[in-house]
Amino acid sequence: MYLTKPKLIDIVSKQVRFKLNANAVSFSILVFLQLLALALSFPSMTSIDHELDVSLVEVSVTSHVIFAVLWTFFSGIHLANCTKWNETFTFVTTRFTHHLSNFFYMVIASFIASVMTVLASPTLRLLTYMRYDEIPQSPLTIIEAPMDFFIQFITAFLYLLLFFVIGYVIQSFVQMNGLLGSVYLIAIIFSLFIINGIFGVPLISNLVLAFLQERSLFLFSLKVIGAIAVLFSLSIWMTNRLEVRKS
Amino acid sequence: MGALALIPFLLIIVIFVLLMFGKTFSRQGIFSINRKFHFIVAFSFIGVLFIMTILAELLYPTSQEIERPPHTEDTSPSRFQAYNKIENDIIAGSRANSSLLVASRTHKVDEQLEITYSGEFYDFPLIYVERSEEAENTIEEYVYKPFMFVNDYDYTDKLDIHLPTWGKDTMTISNMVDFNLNLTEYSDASLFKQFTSEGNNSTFSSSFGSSSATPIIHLIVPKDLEVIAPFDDVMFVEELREEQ
Repeated sequence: MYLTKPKLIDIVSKQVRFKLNANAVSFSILVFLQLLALALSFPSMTSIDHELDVSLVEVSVTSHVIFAVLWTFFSGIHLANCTKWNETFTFVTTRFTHHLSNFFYMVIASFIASVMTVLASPTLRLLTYMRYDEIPQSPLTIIEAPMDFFIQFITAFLYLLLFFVIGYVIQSFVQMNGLLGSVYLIAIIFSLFIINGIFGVPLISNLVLAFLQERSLFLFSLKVIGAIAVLFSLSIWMTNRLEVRKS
Repeated sequence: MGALALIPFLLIIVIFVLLMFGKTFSRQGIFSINRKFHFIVAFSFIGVLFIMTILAELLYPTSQEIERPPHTEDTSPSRFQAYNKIENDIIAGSRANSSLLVASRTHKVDEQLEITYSGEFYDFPLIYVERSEEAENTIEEYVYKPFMFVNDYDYTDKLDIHLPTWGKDTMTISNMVDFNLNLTEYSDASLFKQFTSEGNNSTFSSSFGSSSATPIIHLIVPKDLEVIAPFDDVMFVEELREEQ
């Protein structure tokens, strides 16, 4: 029927390139957020003991992490919205390749975000040293603990990818059900809280703690990969029912 | 460093303007932002972060090399002991030979000594007045500095003590302890340190705690000298001995 049979990898790579270009502005937004976090990381001095005239300044890279997590979450939502959905009709493609290319885009974007977030730490430390004098406590440097640096990077990447996929699934759900999707979503979350209240089963907190309290990187990676696989399958299953382009 | 702190704000303003008004400028032909520009911004930022990371590793000391005050675990027993020993020695009548001694001076006096104080109430020192038959129209003054612990570190050596000012039959005390500390604590994000050696065995504490004492002034005065003091914090050694 066709002169050339397109390979899956070619279609996906073409779509990933397209998605990267189409969402290029989001990387500038990420830089903007990281710079905003950098500015917010230097709070004004807080006087904590007037009698002794002692001031304490707490500099932390936490705001970088929060902004990165928010960026990935909303980028996931943005990636699955109506406009992006309609863009797929530009290509001769299947639903599967569409989701696969979205996933690879999320991997690349999460990688870039995690590089920025992890490298923000030594940058902030350098600026802290330049600005303040008395710093009796400081975390280990990369030279002191190089493995810790790579572990931080892997952890950041996995967390950011997970938030990306969560945003993507939520928007897919809303996409499938229209306005009612939001209502369903709120109802599901609300019912989880009700289950917690009536039966005393803290599902949400248990789920969150399963990731936060994990002490083995290997098991944590398996949990994140498993969660991503489940969420992504859910997203594919939900959006497979959407066959037509929305106007 | 003041100007350096403005760099993130300036970059934010520039990027904000470009993002918000980029399309308008582009339409008006002022300049155009293509998709390549966004990738240049992102990778330039990563490049800057890499350079800053290398500089941070090369230029600044590791967490082990940072100059720190002595840890209270090492110094606090001896500091407390030395401070308590001052009081015990004064009551016992022996001259306190303490590492906390800042100054010992002698002053001429007539029939009375008026102690005046200007400053905050919490800065008021402990004043021990000991009457001596040997002292004739002279006052021996011994000033001991307090200890100062902030967040498990001993800042006693950084205390600046202002000695009392002596006039004719007067001793004026004004804000004896001058201590100004701008403490900075830097921490990585705990979320990403979940699996690091430091994260699992973290000794880093962001809480604040301090412990300090007031300075001690020991005055050995003539037996019949009238001492006028505004506060009850002036203790007469003879009375303390009787209480014991």
